Amino acid sequence: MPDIGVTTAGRIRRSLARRQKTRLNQLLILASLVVAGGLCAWVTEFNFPKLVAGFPAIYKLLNRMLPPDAEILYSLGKPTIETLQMALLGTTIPIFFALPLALLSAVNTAPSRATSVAIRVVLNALRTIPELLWALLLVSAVGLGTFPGVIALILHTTGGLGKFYYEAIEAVDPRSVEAIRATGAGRLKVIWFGIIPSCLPILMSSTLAYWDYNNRAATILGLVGAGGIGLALTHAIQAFNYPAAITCLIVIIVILTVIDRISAVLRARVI
Amino acid sequence: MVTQDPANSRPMIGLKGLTKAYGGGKPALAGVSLQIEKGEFAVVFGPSGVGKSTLLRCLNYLVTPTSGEVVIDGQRMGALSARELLKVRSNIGMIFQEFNLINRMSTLVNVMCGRLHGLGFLRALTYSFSREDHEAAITALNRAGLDDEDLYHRRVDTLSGGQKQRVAIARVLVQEPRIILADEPVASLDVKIQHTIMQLVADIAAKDGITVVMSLHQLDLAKQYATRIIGLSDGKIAFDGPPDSLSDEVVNKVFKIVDNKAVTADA
Repeated sequence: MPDIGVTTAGRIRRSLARRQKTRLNQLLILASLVVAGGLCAWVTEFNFPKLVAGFPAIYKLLNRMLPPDAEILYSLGKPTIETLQMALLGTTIPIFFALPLALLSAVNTAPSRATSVAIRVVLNALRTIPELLWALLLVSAVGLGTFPGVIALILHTTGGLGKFYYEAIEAVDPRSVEAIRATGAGRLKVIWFGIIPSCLPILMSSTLAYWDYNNRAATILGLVGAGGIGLALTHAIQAFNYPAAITCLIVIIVILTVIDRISAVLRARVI
Repeated sequence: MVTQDPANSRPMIGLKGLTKAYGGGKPALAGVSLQIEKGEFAVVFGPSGVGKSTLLRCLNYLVTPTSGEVVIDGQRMGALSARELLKVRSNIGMIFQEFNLINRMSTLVNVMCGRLHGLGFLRALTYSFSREDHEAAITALNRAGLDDEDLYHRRVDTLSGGQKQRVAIARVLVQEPRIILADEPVASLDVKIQHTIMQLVADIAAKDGITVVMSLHQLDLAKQYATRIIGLSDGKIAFDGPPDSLSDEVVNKVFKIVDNKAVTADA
């Protein structure tokens, strides 16, 4: 009996000591975050008073923007539709590249480890280069317009979707895959029946997330001359036509909000 | 067709020196040799991790043995081409502890997956099974004891454990198998359904002359339904005989139990 008492006392003591150690660790982490934040602010010359001092200038700019120029709304219809079309093509076409590439690179479907690694490097490169940079390179290669914009989105999205896809494929329960293999189904049938149905919701929701993202990306592509409403915005700013610029911004915000809702509803339905 | 032994007396399953080692560790199977005749109902038992699952998976070559030979109905599995292997595998049905169905698909489609081997490319691509496949699936479901049509078009993850195992058995039935491999098929089911499922497998096997190899922890069930019991210990056969010769002594030997106390780590 006294034996158990001693053991219990020891356990309580050690448990309290462990708690104190956890507390200390938490404090250390907090302190290092504060120091790191301060250091970053110093290096990047983040200066709050300077921002406050700029308020009058910002106020003046806003004044010049208002009221928005409603006249130009009519001319924004075509570029807006262009932007949406770029985003749609830039999301749907990559599906056909990303899925095969993902199947060749997911460890549970790849024909070999070498293929898997090689394709991951390619996907990584496609994804790491931002679509804006792709667009910049492509505009100088194939000229201005929505075409280089669409290609830029396709390249970046293939890289991004490919990664999402292979991660979804790798997360499929190997037990149901084994059951399909056990029926004497070949490699492609195993993928088509044992793997795709199980990860379909994740494939669809990550595609929708990319569609959502690409609508934003497509607006910004105009900055480098790749067409759409971004181009209209760039023109307005370059011409110091601020009322027109604010109209473009309002249109962009409204459209993106609507798309955000549509995408959220669709994603809720596929999961 | 590959080499067919004309002798009618050849065993359904023949193993010679079957060895499987994962990585560099102790082999899961260390030289297992045995023969199982057509129509036998063989239960494999032994401590967890002793290689029962590996043994079953070597029989249909889901796991490739490190060495040794697996002969199924006269065909040496190791000598088959990839295509021939799939053909042989399609005649070996397999059921699992966790049923291993495709959760997001319907009962009927899950069952028809048992016929994937013979499904044409275009049909597979478009997930469209033939009328014959539907017939076979519905017949199999009835035979497996699921005759409630409402269940056929429901997603299988809405079914109960017992129903899921019936679906898995139906999936095996549409394969028209010569062998059924069962990996702890009742371990996740309650006691009553355990008997129902064991009875179902035994009935099907007896009626269709199917050879069954099943890993099983419940020795009372094994004694009741099996025609032969094989004990595995340290990757080797420690016992092989009819159910009524399975004594406590034998069980203790297979599980390495000394003085009726399991040898376990001191608390």
